[in-house]
Amino acid sequence: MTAITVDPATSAAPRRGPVFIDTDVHERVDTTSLLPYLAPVWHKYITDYRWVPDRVLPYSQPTAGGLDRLDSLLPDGRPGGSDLGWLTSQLLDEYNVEYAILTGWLNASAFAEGWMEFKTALMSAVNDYQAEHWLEKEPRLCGSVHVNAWDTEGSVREIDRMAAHPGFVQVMLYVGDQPFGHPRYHPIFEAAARHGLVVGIHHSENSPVSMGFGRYFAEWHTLVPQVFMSQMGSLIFNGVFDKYPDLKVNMIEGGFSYVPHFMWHADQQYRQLRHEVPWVKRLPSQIIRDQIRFATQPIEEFTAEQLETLIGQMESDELVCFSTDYPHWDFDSPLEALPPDLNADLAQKIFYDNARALYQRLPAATRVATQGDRR
Amino acid sequence: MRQVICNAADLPAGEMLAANLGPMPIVVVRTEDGQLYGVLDKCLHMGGRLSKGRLQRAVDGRECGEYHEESGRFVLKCPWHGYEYDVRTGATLFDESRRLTTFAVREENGQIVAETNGRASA
Amino acid sequence: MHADSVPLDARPAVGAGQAVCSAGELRPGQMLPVLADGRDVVVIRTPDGGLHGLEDRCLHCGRRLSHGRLHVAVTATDVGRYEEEQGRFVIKCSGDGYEYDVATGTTLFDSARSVTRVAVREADGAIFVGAPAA
Ligand code: FES
Ligand code: FES
Repeated sequence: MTAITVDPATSAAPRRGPVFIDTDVHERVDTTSLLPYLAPVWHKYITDYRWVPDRVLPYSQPTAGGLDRLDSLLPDGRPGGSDLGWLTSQLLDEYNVEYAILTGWLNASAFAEGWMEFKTALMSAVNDYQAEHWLEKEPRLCGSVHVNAWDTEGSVREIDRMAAHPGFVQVMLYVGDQPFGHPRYHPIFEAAARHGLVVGIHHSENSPVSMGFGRYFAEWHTLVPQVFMSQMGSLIFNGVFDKYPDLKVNMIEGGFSYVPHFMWHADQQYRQLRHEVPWVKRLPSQIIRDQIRFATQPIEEFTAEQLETLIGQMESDELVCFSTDYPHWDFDSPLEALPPDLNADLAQKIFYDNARALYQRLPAATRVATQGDRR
Repeated sequence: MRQVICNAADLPAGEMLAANLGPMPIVVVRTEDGQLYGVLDKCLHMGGRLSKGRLQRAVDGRECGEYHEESGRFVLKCPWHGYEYDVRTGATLFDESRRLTTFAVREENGQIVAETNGRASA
Repeated sequence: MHADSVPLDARPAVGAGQAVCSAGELRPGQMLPVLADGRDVVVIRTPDGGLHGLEDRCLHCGRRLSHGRLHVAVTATDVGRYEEEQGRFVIKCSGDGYEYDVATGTTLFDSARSVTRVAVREADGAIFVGAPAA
């Protein structure tokens, strides 16, 4: 990520880079494609009344291509992530992806609360579409069960239904403005843990930061880690991890550089205020090391020394899992996102081992991934 | 190293073209005001292809809330995370010291020609 | 004789194995700071009558535990359900609130961190700190 000298390899055979597991890849489906998976009673809301997903972000994404990486838009104008062949050539074949975990685009947990019947049905349609058009067509793809967290019972039903499909490895919650530690959501975590599904908590455009959205995208996007700190605080202090010790949560698209700060600060509050939250039985940093993981994207420009120090401050090199966020505008390339002189064992853990340990339902390794495959 | 890139008519004002100069991927730009520039076609950040990004007018602002386009200054905006490069100098707009290699690009006898060791900085 | 009422310079200073007060002076629910053989000790009489001694110094920033609060420990078996643990008492530091189990000296947030326990006993109508006098 420093100034480059011209690399003759760029015009020769592509470097595919390290073997890795991509923990954040957005496949996309437009709502009309979901009609075959929705009961007829819902169709007119999409075909006639033109329902569109909630979007409350007060600005555009001031990037070259909007939400998507400009070169991921399809020639026919469809958004990035709409086409399996295109995704395969730009991501799965371009790089050395062993598995890519799909994280979708439509997730009702980040919408406002109302009309939950429709949104719960929509989530089922998204899941059925995902299974048929993505998971069953490409073995390198693994799925996320989308749920409408506002409807706890419906979410649990959906998790139980989709867990029967071996392609799903995760339950997906997008963050709106609700902290998920509230007891109303606990059955969702219970159901995920029962099936060995990770709960992926993913950022969304509908998530304000602590004083609202701010006046500029740059301001809001800087503070995305705040949202993840809020979610972690909520889950930890509302006892979710103590109640479900088998639960694993992946925090997706918030980066990870905030983690040491959160650990230190939360531990200190716990030492001082434990009697207020006596259902919490471990230091927050220990809960995090036991049960929470972090997807790397959007990564900052780190030197190897900075990144190694940061990981050292977490007191575990097993917490961080690589993610690209393909096809979105802040896609992180596995060839360049980590500093080239990073400790090889650490790179291997970030690219591969940590995600493999996290996602218990991933199929067995298709090939032996070693550091020798890096670069 | 010197190489013909294309016919002059193939690169209208306001457009850009990906090409190779020897082993190097470059992007050749003709700005709206007709000037020709060339920079390495590989973003300094994570290697996004700048030729797949946007050629835009640079935007500046002196005060909060003020946006104005800088006349005669054009930037390449990376298709990925959006780093912006001044096409004349190859420098990013956020840090003068981070620069893409630039190439001399000229029109000669109806052809566009690129050459190494051009204006390293304007 | 509640801790709050004992200014530091007024705390009893005794040699090893000497009586620090009469048994009746330390009532259930009270704590007494003493300087026993040069050591700062807090002697605790829990509401159920138990007698305990701890080094009178918080692991965090060194405040005197005897300036804190003596409480029944609070636990929970489920989110939002506060339960008092009968028979388990804690000192909550007056500073930032670290809690110590009075019987073990261990913090309630980390079983690996404890203040030193000090032997105390009641005999012949008095309370003694440390080994009995010869
Ligand atoms: S690769 Fe160009 S801005 Fe990141
Ligand atoms: S000094 Fe005891 S908690 Fe801070």
